[in-house]
Amino acid sequence: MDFANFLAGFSASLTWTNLGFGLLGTLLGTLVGVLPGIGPALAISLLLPVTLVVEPTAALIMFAAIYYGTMFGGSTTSILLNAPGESGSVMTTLEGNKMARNGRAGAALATAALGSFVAGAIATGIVAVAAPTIAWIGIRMTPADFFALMVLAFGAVGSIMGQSLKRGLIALFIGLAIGLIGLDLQSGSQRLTFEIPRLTDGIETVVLIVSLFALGEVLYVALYGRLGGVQRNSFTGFATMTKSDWKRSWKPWLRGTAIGFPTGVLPAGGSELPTFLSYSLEKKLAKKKHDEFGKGAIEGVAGPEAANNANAAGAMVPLLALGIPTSATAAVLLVAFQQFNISAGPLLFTDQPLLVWTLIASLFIGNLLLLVINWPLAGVWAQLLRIPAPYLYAGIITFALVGAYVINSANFDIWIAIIIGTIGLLFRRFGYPITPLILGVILGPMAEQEFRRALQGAAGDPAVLISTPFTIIVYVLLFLVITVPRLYSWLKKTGKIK
Amino acid sequence: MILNSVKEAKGELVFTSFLFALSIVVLVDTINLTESNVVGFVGPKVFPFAIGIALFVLTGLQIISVLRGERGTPEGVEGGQQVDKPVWRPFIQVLVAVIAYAALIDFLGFLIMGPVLFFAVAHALGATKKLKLAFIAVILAVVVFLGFTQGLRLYLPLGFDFINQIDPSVEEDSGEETW
Repeated sequence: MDFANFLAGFSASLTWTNLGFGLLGTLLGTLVGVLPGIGPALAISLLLPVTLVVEPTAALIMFAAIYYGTMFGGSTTSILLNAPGESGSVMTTLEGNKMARNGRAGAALATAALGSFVAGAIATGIVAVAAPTIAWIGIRMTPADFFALMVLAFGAVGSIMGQSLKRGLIALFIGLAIGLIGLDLQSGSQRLTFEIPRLTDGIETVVLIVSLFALGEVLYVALYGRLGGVQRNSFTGFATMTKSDWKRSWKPWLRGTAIGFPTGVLPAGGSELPTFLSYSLEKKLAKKKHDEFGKGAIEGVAGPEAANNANAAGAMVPLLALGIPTSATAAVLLVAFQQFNISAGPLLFTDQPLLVWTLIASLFIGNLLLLVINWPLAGVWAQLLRIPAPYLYAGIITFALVGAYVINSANFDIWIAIIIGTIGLLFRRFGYPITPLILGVILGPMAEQEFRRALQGAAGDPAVLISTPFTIIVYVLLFLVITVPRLYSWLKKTGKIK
Repeated sequence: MILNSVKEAKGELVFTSFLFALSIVVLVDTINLTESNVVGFVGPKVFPFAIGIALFVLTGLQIISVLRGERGTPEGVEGGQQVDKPVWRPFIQVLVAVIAYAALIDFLGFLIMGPVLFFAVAHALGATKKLKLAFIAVILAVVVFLGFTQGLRLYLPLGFDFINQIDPSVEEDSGEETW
């Protein structure tokens, strides 16, 4: 770790502006985490217009704080309602809600907040050490290496997310096709614009994300949802843990961190997988001792809640060091960088050391702020759950359409949003994952650029794509990511392994 | 029950075929692309072509899967329950509200269309107390409008340009110095 830069970043993060935006981000993030129906990717994309007016460091601090904050706040909804506040908290719901029904809501909220804090602190520490190192390697990587990494991100996210490989990959390629729309900057050719002048610049990423997540969700809920009827556990006062709660929590926190961080670094598509893995692990381990799983086991809250925070931090490593997003939220963060004309990636640490170190320092501060505003104030956030769902969804759609409008001050973008929102609705209905699509749109044009650079350097010889050991390792890894889980389930089904 | 599942399959088949059609659109567009001034070794056709082919094959295989009986599982609903049978009334209300918003925002302005949108969507999704809802809708729209135009200095239409014929950029002049 670059200690001098780190200290410079710390002192730069302690200005009133940066602290203010950090605090705003933690509050918004917690809010978004607590409220059902709105996740971190949507929240950040609704706020992307802010990039037009706020300076980069402050805006990026706020966005990162939102990402962390969502992971904190999501647990409150999971524990107090029998419904997750966002997708990374689905696993927390299983045990957390049962704990709340047994009158142990306080302990569940406390272990979630503390576990999130511990995981966030450890994982951010690793980010500070690992990101510059990986950036150092990144500078030495060839375009073919980058292209391989992007293909890995595509393949992994496409195959992990969604019910089947085909559905994940179709979502990915639809995203790649949408990414083609507009002017090809290298040749000046217009691709998929259908001679509509407005499409020459491509589809605004903000419009795309807002319509997929917000508009698509609201349309889906209107068509296939019945709101209300969710059982609410009341909680007031202070969330505390007994001595035995502490004793049972700290190990799952650490194990959750150990699972969450690497799955954040690798393109696993977000917090669903690590929280699931952490939950399964804790359940397995608990069988030996006091097994309360199914009746409200604190381990089942502590583990996944640590895992989702470590996951959010882990995603920062490839994002900052290589400019490659591994989840939908990271992809939106990458767009935020692009809005400022700052290219996230290996050069970030040499070109913008103050910005990147201020951001990392702010992650530490934000994590602490989140503990302070989540642990003692859990009861206050719980009051937010009294907002009726119809109001919530109406608010989401209003903000979404405002966000789509202000980017270009054009209602053409609202029409585009309606079309893409309908696709989002149909994706949800027919079990297609949204994340690969988002990743395809955002990473696709970058992948094409690296592909062209690679072939340019090799005078058009496609063998350049597998010319370095790194590329070969990455493609082998991709092959394993796609085949191993399928081989495993096939072997299990045919009874070759227990 | 059997009838229901056949109907469901039809919906999914139509959607998958739509995706299949998209792959053909990508391919046709790529073939018709005029490579005016190709710089370098990879022209603008290579990537779209690969994407089109991949999409063509994948969606084709998916259509076969659907015909063989594979069904997509719908996503859950946060803050409520997911139902299998579509409920058309609220959906159409929301859709009409959104389309009306897109069509009228520049004429009537955000201070009118914002509350209308909020009210219509919340009402469609089951909010019952109309007076309270209308009150909240107006307050929220005013806060959003002031927050964006005064706080962030981003343009939201005030509308009614057809009455006083003032260029909207002039109207916004009070907040334009920082640009």
